[in-house]
Amino acid sequence: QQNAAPPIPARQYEAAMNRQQRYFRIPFIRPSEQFNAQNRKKGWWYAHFDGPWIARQMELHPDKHPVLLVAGKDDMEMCELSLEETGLSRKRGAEILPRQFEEIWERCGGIHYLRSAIESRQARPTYATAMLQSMFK
Amino acid sequence: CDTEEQPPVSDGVSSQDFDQFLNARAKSADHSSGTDQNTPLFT
Repeated sequence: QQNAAPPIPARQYEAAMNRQQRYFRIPFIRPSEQFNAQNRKKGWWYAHFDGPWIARQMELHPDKHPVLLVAGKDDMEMCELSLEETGLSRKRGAEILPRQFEEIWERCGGIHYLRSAIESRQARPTYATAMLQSMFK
Repeated sequence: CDTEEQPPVSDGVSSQDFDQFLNARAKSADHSSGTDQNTPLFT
């Protein structure tokens, strides 16, 4: 019945703003097509790290629906390693600009998905939830 | 010519745990028909 998104505490918002936000993209090759260099279809794994921990994850597989995941709601399917443990920050070409992530996230319905997770109080408070909540305030 | 020094990089991501995680996610996509929570990107 209660559909309104929970208000965002000022302290939580400030803390989120002070953490480093980093965005990454890694190609996905299906195991079944790993050795088919000519015709293999590449997918993409996207991640948004809020400080050391992942806040949003997105997976684009050819011929399939995109998979959107947000911290709190989808923890079981998300990367549980810290940013440092993934080695992503040391991989050249993996880091992308925020707008590159956001553009795909929005195109895949990420705003609606995250908003629903916030409203159902399943999303863990992150920079992404803070930004979205401030947008709809 | 670009003289800026670059860190050594391999084709894969350095963390073995992360590689395993990515492989598991790719396999999971192989066995699922996708979620219907989202709109298709590849049309």
